[in-house]
Amino acid sequence: MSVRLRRPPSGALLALALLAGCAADAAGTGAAAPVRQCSFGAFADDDDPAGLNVRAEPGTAARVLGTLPPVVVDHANGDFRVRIPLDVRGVRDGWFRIAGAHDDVTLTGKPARPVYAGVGWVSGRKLAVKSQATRGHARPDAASPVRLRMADDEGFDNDAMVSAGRLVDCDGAWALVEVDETRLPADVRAALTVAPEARAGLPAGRFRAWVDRVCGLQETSCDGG
Amino acid sequence: MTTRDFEPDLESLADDFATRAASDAGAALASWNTAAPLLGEELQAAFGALADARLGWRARAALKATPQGTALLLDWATARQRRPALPRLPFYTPHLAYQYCAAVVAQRGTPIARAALRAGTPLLLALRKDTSTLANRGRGEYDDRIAVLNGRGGLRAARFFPACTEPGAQYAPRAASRPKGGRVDARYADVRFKKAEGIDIDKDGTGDLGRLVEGTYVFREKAGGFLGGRAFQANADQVAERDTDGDGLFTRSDPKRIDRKGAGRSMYIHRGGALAAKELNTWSAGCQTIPNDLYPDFLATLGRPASFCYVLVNTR
Repeated sequence: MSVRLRRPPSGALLALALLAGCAADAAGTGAAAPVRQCSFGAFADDDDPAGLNVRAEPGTAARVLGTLPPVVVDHANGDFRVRIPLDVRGVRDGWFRIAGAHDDVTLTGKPARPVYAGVGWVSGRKLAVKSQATRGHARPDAASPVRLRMADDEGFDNDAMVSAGRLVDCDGAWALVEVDETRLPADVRAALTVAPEARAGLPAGRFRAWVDRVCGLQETSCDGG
Repeated sequence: MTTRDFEPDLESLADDFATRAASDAGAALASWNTAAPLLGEELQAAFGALADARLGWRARAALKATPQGTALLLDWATARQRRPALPRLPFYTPHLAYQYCAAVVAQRGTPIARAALRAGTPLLLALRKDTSTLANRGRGEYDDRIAVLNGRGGLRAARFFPACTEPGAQYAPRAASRPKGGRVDARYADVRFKKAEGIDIDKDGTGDLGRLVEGTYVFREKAGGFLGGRAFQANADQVAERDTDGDGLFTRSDPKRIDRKGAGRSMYIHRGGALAAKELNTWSAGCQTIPNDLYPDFLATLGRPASFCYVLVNTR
């Protein structure tokens, strides 16, 4: 894939973008251009009260552009984790180019917290996805071998799967998710069929699969996925 | 509904009518003429539906032999083609509510729903009032009703919950902002847009919000929880109808509105925003939602069946 390099914005423009909280292309250019473009909704999932850093480039050494507030745990509703919704636009070395992050006041029921809404990079270890797919695949291709299924053709959009999974890679509307099986309740573990290939090269209790039909809504399911 | 100082037992009246009709159509019609006027329109229709469902061939033949019997059978047959009324709540008793709902299920449910009713297993009846997706600035309204019918142990009670069975325009692609300002569709200017959802069934380049088509569906509980608690998913693909002309309503004037595949099984039953919230939001992009502050009661009333029938009916 060819990537067109563009001149980075000036400091003044960057400051303006940060102040406005807009989704201007303030990062993710030049050396930080993604290896692959992606397009789906995901959620920042971090409990750090200081917030999750959004960086100008992939990697912990890169400049911090802003932060995303921590998860709000809804204790009145089964400790549901209200995360920060955002758009995933690309990937490079396990880091994801994001934009459009916002506080989900519909679910928190509280005034909106400051959120860095512009373009930047966050680690996939802090990103959760909610897939309504009923099959996990070996590659980002519906015709590729099936690596993951749930009983009764259920989707992977239940709370347990979303919490136990982390984003590892992406390609277009597809997401590669790594699931920590030890975090799944027994009934979900029992309902899963995981191909041995999905565990290859991973620590015990972990598996990976490519999923599509990724839903960027927390408060409901997506129409048709 | 008319004011009454008694609780009619519609099922007993229907049993009595069907039994009499088989042997003496005149006596059956006399009992109808006595009881029906006392019931008011809604319960009279329920009485008729229950009686109709109980008639054997001998009773039907006897009724057809009389002018009034023929007229009554014709009226009941055409009633199936009309939308039932959304009853004014609350009912006099949970038992009367059950009988009203049972009549609707008997008249409009599929055989599997009627069998569930006879077996006394839990069953949901949703009575939908058509509401524009644009209502409440696109955040939906809880103006439908979902009744939990419980026939276990001879209880035969129904409890109604406010519900939303239609999507809000907050998820309509037409409500999204255009890069040059304004909305994709100017009719959606007042909508509090959240995120675009909907399948483009008519291939005009804009996604179309969908609602579940009325009918009988079987749901079961989702494993792993959803929205922090229990939620339910259909066990087969669902049929949606889509607002392809974007006027906010689901009508026959929407070209190519029926979508037999696109929705998949994505229209769940789950909790929505609370009635007590500062800004009411039903959180429905096509799901069937019940207010969060009533959802625990709904779950407790439903119990934990392995699966259950969900009968969705459009009312007038």
